[in-house]
Amino acid sequence: MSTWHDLVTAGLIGTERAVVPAVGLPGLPPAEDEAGDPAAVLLDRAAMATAARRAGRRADRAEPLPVCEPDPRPAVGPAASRRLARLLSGEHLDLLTEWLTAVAVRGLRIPPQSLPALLDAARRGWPADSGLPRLLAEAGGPRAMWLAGLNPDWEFVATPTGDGDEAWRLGDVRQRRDYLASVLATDPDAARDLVTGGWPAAGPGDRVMFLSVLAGRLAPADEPLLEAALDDRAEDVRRWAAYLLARLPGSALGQRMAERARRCVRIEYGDRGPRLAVTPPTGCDALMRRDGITPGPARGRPQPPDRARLLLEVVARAPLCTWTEGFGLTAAQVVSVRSADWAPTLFAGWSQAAIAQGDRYWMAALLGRAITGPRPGTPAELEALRRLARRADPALGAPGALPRPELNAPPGAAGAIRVLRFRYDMLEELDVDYHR
Amino acid sequence: MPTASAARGKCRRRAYGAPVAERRDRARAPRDRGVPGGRPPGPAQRRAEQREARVASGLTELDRWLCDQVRQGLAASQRSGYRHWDDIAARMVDAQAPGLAERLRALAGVPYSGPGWEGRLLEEYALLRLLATACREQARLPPPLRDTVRSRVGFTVRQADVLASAAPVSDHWLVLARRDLDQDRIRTRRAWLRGQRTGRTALVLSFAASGELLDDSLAVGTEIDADLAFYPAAWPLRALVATRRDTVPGGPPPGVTVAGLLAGYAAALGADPWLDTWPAVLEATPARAPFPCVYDSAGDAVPLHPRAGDCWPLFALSGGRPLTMAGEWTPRGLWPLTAWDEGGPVPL
Repeated sequence: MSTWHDLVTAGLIGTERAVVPAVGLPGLPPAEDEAGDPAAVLLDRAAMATAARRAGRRADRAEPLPVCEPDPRPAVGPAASRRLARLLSGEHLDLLTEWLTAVAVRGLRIPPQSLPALLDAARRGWPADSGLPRLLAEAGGPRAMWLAGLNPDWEFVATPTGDGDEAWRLGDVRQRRDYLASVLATDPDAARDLVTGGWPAAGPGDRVMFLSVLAGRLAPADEPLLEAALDDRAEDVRRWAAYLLARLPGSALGQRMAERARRCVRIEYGDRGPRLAVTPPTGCDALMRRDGITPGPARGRPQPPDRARLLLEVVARAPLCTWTEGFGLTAAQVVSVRSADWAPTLFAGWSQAAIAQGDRYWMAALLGRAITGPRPGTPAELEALRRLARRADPALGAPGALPRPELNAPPGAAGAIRVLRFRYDMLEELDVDYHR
Repeated sequence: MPTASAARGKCRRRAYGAPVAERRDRARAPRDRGVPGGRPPGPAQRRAEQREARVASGLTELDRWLCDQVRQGLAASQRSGYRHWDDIAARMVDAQAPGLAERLRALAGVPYSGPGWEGRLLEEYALLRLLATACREQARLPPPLRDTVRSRVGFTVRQADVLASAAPVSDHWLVLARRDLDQDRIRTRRAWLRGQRTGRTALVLSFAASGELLDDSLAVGTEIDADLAFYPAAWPLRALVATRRDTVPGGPPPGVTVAGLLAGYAAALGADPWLDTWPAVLEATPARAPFPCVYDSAGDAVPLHPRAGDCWPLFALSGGRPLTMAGEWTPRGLWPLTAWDEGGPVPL
C-alpha cells in the first residue's frame, strides 16, 4: 500500500520521471488507474489524501513539565502591569531595578506573562547590574525560577545551590559575591570578617568584588580596611576605596577633601549679595591622587592640569556639610549663590556628591535650581541632572512638589521632571496594589 | 447603548477599510441585479459576465501551471525563488481571482519552512487544483459549497447582501482571540467570537491600510450582546456585526479536549476542505517535549505552531498547570492567542 510519503516523493521527482502511486484511504475504494495527465492524477490523489490526513489527524503524546510551586503573594494590578510593559519596551528601562525593588519590598508578585520579557531584559543587562538576578529571583518568585529551569538563557537567576561555606571557599566570583551579599544582609560583622580574612589572599578582581558588595551597607567600621586599600597595588581597588570613603560620613578622606574644597571655594558678600569666589586647584599632588583624584585621562604627552576637572573631583568628594555648615546656609541657598563661569562645574560636583552621599535635601535643591535657574548647558550639567532625576526622592515627582519649569525650560529640565513623575506614579500604583 | 442604526453606520464605515480587491469588486457589483423584466443587459451585468470569463480562463491557466509544477518535480520550485510564485500570483490578479493570488503568494515561503516543506507544498498545490476544479464545475455544486468556492477564489459578497441574505444570529458573543496580519500594505485583524447560547463560532474581519489603526471595538475577553450576520458558506464562519447592544467583561470560555478540537475540525473539513484556520478553545497544559505542544487531561497533545515562536508567556501563565486557552488551529499546529488565568484574559 502506498502512503502519503510515496506521493510526496513522486511529486518531488516529478511525474515526467516517477510513476504516480495509488494511495489507499481508509473507508474509500482503492484508487484505480485513471486516464489522463499523470500530474493531474497525482494532484487529485494528493488533494484527497490531504483532506483525509487533516481530518484524521491523531493526537501526539507530551512529556509533562514539573509543576511550579504556588506564589501566595498578590499580583500587581493592571496599571503596574502596563507600567512594566512600558519599561520593558525601552521607556526608562534604567528604572527597572527601582520598580523590581519596590515590587519585592511590598510583597507583590509580577504577572507571570510578563516574566519572559523581564528575564530577557535582565539577561541583556547582566552582568552590568550584578544585583539584578537576585532582585529578579525575589520579585519574580517561584514562577521566575521555574521558567529559568526551562530556558538556559535564564539560568542566571537560579540561586546557586550547595553549601554556602563551600561556595565561599571553592565557588567562582559570582558564587562568592552571592554568598558575601547574603551574609552581609543578615550579619554585617561576619561579612566584614570574611572580607578582612580573605583580603590578603584575594586577587584584584576579588578585592573589587569585596568592596562593591560592602558598598551596599557601608559602615564606619569599614574605614580602616578602605583607608588601607587607598594604597592597594590595583588601580580599580584604589578607586573603589576612595569612592566609598567619600560616601562614608565622617571619614578622614572626607575631612581632607573638605579642607581642599574650602581652599577652592569661598563665599564673599558684596553690594550685589553673596557670590562664590572660586580658585580651582593648580595641580594634582600625590596626596590628592591617593584620595582618588585623577588629573585627567592619560594621553600621549603630558598635559597642563585640567583645573576645572580637579575642582569637580574635589567638590564631588567633599562632604556636603562643608558648604551648608561652612557658609551657614541651606542647600537651596548654597546652590543659588552666584558663581559666574564656575556654576556648571559646581553644579555637576554637588550633584555627584549628593548622589554618592544619598542626600535628598541637596538633590531636591539641585533639581529645583536646574528647573528654575539658568539653563543647564554643559554636558556635565545635563548628565548630572539626568542622574539626579533617577536618584532623588520620587516624592519630588508628585504634582506641585517642584516649581513649575519656565515656559522655555531647557530639555534637560523637562526630561528630569518627566522621569520624576514617572517614578512617582510608578510607586503610587504599587502602593495602591499593596493596600488593596 | 449603541442603537441599531449606529451599528449599521459602523459597518458602513468599516467597509472603507476593506481590502482593495473587495472594494473593487463592490464597485463592479451589478446594481441592477434582480430587476425584473427583460431589459437588455446593462453595463454592470456585462462587467460581471466579463469577470466570470476572465476568472475561468485564469483557472485554466492555474491548473496548467500546477500540473507543470508536479510534472517537473517540486525540487525545481525550491531553486526558483520568490519570483516563481509572484509571477503566477500576478497572473491571478489580472484574472481577477485575488483569493487564488493570495494563496499563491503565501507559498513562496514554503520551500524555506523547514523539513517536510515538499509535503506542505504538495498539499497546497493539490488543494489549489481542487479549488480550480470546483470553481470550473460550480454549477454542479450545492449553493453553500458554491459560495465557499467562490469566496476562496476571490469573489466577494457585498455587506448589504450578507445582511439581507439570512436572519442574523442573536447571542452574547465572547471575544475569544484576536490576531493581526500585515500583508501587501493592508492590515487584517481576525477576531474570533463564541456565542454563549448557540455555541457558534464567528470570525469578524476588519481591515486598515498600513499605518492606520485597526478597528478596536472587539476587545479580547469582553462579551458583546449582538446580532451577527454570517456570510453564506458551506461552513459559515465569517460574519458581520449587524446590531450591537451591551458590552460586558466575560469569563473564560469552556475549553474542549484535544480530541474534541480535532473532531470539530474534521467535521468542518468535511464541508470545506480548504479550511486551514480553525478556532480552538482548549483546556490544556503546555509542554516542551518531545516538541513544544499542549496536552489535555487525557494526555492527548497537539503541537504548537512552529512559527508561533517560543510561546514563553503561555508557559509562564501555566506554570505546569492546565489553563483555558484560545487560538487558531492549523494543519501545522496551534497558534495560541489568548489564555485565561485567575486575573482574567491575557492576550499572548
